[in-house]
Amino acid sequence: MTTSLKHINHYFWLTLVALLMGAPILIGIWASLLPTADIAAGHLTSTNISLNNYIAAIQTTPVLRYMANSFIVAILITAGQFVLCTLAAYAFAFLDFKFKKQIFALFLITMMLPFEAQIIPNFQTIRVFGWLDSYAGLTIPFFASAFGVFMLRQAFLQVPDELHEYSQLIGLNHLQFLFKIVLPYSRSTLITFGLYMFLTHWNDYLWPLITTFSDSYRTTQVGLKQLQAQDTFSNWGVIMATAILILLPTLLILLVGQRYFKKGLNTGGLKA
Amino acid sequence: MYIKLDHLTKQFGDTAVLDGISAQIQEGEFFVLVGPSGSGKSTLLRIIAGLIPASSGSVFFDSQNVTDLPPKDRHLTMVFQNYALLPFMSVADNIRFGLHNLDLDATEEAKRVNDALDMVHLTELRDRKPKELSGGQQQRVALARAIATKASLVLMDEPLSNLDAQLRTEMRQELVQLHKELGMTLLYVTHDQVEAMTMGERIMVLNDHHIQQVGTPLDLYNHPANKFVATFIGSPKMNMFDATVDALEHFATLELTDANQHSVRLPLPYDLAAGAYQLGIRPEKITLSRSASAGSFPVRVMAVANLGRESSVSLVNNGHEFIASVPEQYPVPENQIVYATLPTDAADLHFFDEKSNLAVNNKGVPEKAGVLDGIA
Repeated sequence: MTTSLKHINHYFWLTLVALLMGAPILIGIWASLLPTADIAAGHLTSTNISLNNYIAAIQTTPVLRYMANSFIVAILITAGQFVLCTLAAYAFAFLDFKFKKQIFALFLITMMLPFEAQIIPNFQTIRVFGWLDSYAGLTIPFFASAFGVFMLRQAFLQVPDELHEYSQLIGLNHLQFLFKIVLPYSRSTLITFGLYMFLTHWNDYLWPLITTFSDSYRTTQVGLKQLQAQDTFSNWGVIMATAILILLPTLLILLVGQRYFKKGLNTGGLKA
Repeated sequence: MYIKLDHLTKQFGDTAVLDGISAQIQEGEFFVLVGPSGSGKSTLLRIIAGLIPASSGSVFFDSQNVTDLPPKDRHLTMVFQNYALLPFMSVADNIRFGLHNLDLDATEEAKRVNDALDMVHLTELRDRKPKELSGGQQQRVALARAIATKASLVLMDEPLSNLDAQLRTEMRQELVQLHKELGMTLLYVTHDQVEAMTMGERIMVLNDHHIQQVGTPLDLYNHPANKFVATFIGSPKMNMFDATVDALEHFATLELTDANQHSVRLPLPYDLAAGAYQLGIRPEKITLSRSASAGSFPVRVMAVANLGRESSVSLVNNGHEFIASVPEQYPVPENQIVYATLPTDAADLHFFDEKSNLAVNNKGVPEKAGVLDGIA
C-alpha cells in the first residue's frame, strides 16, 4: 500500500471514531440552536436556528452564578492542592525520615478508597465546622490529594541527584531549592496537574450536590440538574444551551493544555 | 588549599564502602582518584565535599577540621558527570546562579560571569539554554560555573565520561591547561586509567574500599605496589604469569614451555625467597621475532589488533594467554608460530606475593613503602 493510501485509511478510521465520540456533543450543540417547541415535537431540524436559547439561559437562569461558583471552587481547590501536595511531595522525594516508605504507602492506599466511601465522614466533619453551603465546605476537603502527592513526587524524582547536591554546595535551603530548582524543573507536570485538577473539580457533582442548598454556592453541574428538575415542562433548548456554556471552559483547557497533558502525564508515569 | 584525609571510613548499613582512607593532597595539585566502579571513589569525593557524612575519621582543609561543616561552608565547587545545569536558565544565568551564596555586588558578579565565559570560549552562546548546546559545550558551561566561584578547591566527578572519545581527549588537555592557569587544588574522580595517567600530577588508586597506592603516574606504572595496581594501570594490561622461585639456583620457573617442551626459566634479577609468585610483565617488554633465538620460546598468534603505529598481539603458549605490544604494524596471520623473549631487567620484572598480592622487593618481603607513599 502506498503512503497516501495508508494515510487515507488512517484518516477514515480516525474520522469515524472521532464522529462516534463527538456525536453527543455535536447533537447537543445542534439542539441548543433549535427552539424548544421543535425539540419537544421530535423534529431534528427547524427553520428557526438561533442563539435565543443562549440568551434565555443567561437571562432567566443563574448559570453565570453557577459558573462563577464552579470557577471559584475549582481555583481554590487547585491552589490548595498545589501548596499541600508540593510540600508533601517534596518531603517524600528529598527528605529522609523514619517510616517514609510506610507513610507513603498509606497515602497511596487512600487513593484506592473511592470518594463515595468518604462522603459520610466528610459530610459530618464539615457540618460540625458549620461549613455546609459554603466555599470552605466545597473546597477544603479536597486540599489534600494522594494522587497529587504521588504525581508531583514522581515528577520531583526526575530532578537529577546532582542538582540536589549542587544546590547544597551553593547553600540553597529547602525552600530555595524547591522554588528555584525543583518547581521550575517540574514545570510541565505542574501545569498538567493544575489543569487536571481544575477540570476534575469544575466537573464535581456529588459533593456539591449534598453540601450546597442555595444558588449562592451551587456549582454548574448541580445547577444544571437543578434546571431540569425545576421546570415541570423541561425547556430542553435552554438546558442544552446551558450545558454547552458549561462545557466551554473544559474545551478551552483541553485545547490549550493538550501538549502538557501528554508530557506531564508521561513524566508522572501515569496514563490519563 | 591543602587537604588531609585522616582514617576515613564509610559504611552504608552493614556494607563498608571506604575503609582506612588517609592521604594528603598538596595545595594546587591536580590529584586524581581512580578505581573501577564501586570502588568508593565518588563516595570519597562526596565526603570531601560534605555531601555525605563520613562514618568515622576526619577531613582537614589546611589546618581546619571541616568534617562537620556543611558543603556551603567549605568554599569548594564541584563539576558533575551530567553537568547539573539548570535547563530553564540561560548559560550566563547558570553561571551567575552558581555565585548565589558569595554575596558579590552586581558589577563583580557580571565580571566573573564574563571572565568565566571568556575562559571557556562560550561568550557568544551566553544567552542559549543548555539543551541548545552540545555535550562538550554544556560541560564547558559547568566548568565556567566552577571557575567563576574562584573556589580554591574544585572537585570533579567523572566530568568527561559523557563526551565522545575525540572531545574527551581535547577536554583533557583543556582541563590540564586550565588548572595550570588558575592554580586551584583539583580533585578529579575517574574510572578511566588513561584519563588518570594523562592528567593527574598524583593519582590515588582505590579498589575494594581501600587505597591501593598513591603516587605519580610513572610511579604507579613503573612500581605498582600490588597486583591490582599493576593490572589496572596500563593498556593493554600487564601480563601475569605463575612463577616458582628457586632461591638456591637463582631462577624462576614459569608455566610456559620452550621448543623442547621444557619449562621456561628466567634468571632472577634480584634475590627472592623460594616459593610461588605471580610475575607481572608489561606487554611492551615482551619482544617477538619470526625466528628462534637463545632464550626465546615459541608462541602461537591468536589475534592481532593493529593500531597503526603499534600492534597488540594476543599469544598463547602451553594454554597460557598473554599479550605483547610491538611498536610497529604486525601483519602476521592467526595461528602463525612466532618466538617471544621475556625481559631480564630487574625494572621490567614485577614479582607479587601470591597470597597478599603485594609487590615484593629483592629480599622477598612484601613491599609496603609504595602503599604508604603520600600518606600521613
